[in-house]
Amino acid sequence: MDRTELAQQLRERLIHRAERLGLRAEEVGGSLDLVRSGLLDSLGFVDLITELEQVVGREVDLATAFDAPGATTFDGVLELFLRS
Amino acid sequence: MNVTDPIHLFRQSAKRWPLRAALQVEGRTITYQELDAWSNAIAHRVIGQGHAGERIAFVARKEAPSYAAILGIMKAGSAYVPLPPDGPTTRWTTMLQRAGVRALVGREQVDDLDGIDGGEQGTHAPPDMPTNGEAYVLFTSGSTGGPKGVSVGRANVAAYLEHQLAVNEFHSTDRFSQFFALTFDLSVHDLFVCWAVGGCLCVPTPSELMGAASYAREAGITVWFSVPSLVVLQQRLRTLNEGALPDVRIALFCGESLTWSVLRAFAAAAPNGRLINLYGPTEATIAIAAYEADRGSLGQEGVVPIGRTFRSTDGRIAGEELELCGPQLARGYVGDQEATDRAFRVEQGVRWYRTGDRVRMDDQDVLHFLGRTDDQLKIMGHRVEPAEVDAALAPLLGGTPVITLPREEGGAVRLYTFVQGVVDQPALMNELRRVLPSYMLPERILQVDRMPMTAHGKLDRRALLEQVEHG
Repeated sequence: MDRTELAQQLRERLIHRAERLGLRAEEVGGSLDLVRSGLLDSLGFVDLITELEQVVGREVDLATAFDAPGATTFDGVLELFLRS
Repeated sequence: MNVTDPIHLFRQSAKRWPLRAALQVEGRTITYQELDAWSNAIAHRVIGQGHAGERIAFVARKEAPSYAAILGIMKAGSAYVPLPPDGPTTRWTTMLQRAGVRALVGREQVDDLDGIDGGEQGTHAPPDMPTNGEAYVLFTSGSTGGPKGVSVGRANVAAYLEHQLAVNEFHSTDRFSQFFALTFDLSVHDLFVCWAVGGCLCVPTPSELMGAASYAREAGITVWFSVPSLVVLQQRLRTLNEGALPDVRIALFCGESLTWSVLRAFAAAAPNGRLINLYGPTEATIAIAAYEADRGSLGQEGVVPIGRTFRSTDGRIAGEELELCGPQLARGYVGDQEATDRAFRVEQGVRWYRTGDRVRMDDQDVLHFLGRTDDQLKIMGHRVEPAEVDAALAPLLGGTPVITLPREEGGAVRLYTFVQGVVDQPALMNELRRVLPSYMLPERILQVDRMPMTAHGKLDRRALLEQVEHG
């Protein structure tokens, strides 16, 4: 799955919650921090990763998932999958 | 001076181990000597600008200046008021007004507040200020709208430290976790137990905190202290493997109910650790009861007991509610005498605090937590009054019925808000984001035609929550 497809999968999982939070669809992406924005709590964030793992069909290195700066941003999640 | 005064204990350690690491944060190691000098400089500025003995705010980022600010403010005989770094700023305004704060240490500029430089330069001689005043004001969720500030004295903290230092063998070689937010009173344990014994306080970055088990392993943490939710998060991250935390020799948990299954998982990861469940409301200063789990008893299910109250604390059970008295009882709620009088009652010269926690005592005199007498709940250790969400929405709804209810989902508690009639959900959520911290935001706002009632005429909460499942 390439970056564009992965971004689409991620956005689909966030868009409804983002709308309920009053965020516009175009705000869901890039450097938006999914946890600090209140979009997800930390457990919800990990659940999102594991859900994406099932879609992609492989596990990521969750032990180091948060090591990189911006790990909980939209782009940070993409990077996690693209480097694993 | 009380020998267990937190600042006295810090100074003793600074004198005894000046070159040892007091703090590791953001890749920087700060010695006791450096932190002592830095906080002295802040104390002198607080005094010099005429704010000794007052309540002083700072934005509670987990960065080196925050730790120096806490010490500096207390060294000036003042009380610290930590502001949540993620805001929202409207909540800051309420907190600052309720606590009567006139000054802030740090680089932020807040209207009407005198700015005090939190930098390292300046006079380093220790100020000599009284130590019998207030230590801090921490805000928790309030059921009648807006945060509620708990005023805790230095003598309260001293009583807590006296107990911890007497019953646990913490060492100067220990490396203490600092997982709790500085707006949370359990962080007071992190800082002052560590500094009382000359240990090193290890502060993870926000992303390191998410992977706390990996961080603890790499940082060589020997004293782990967290909410149980953080352990659950590590399980989900697949990092809480057997033997993953061999250096941990004391593991403490507080802030939420601890289940035996979570404790079992942690025990396997930390095979050399003592396992202690602490209990206590902010109003009784950090914790007032403890239960040390025997490794032989880990096969149990359900919730780990909260144990016995500390020696200096008396507890009694009225109905099912736990009431407490003793030297750890806080001074009360700032700017709210009525709420203080309701929660803290004097009987025959003895001051008792009604915890609102339902407990039972078993035949071994061990306390077991049963739940709340009210709707208060814990989300990732944060105290949340669902009614505060309703109160935040009330001005926008103009009398329309609204209720926020908790729902257990996959080991986490989430809030759902139900509003009668047709509402603009994004607009309501936007308002909530403006006034509430993120952990208090409801997962969803749902519209209902009318609030369902039970046969007894009470709100049918179960029927409302069923609507979550049905979308």
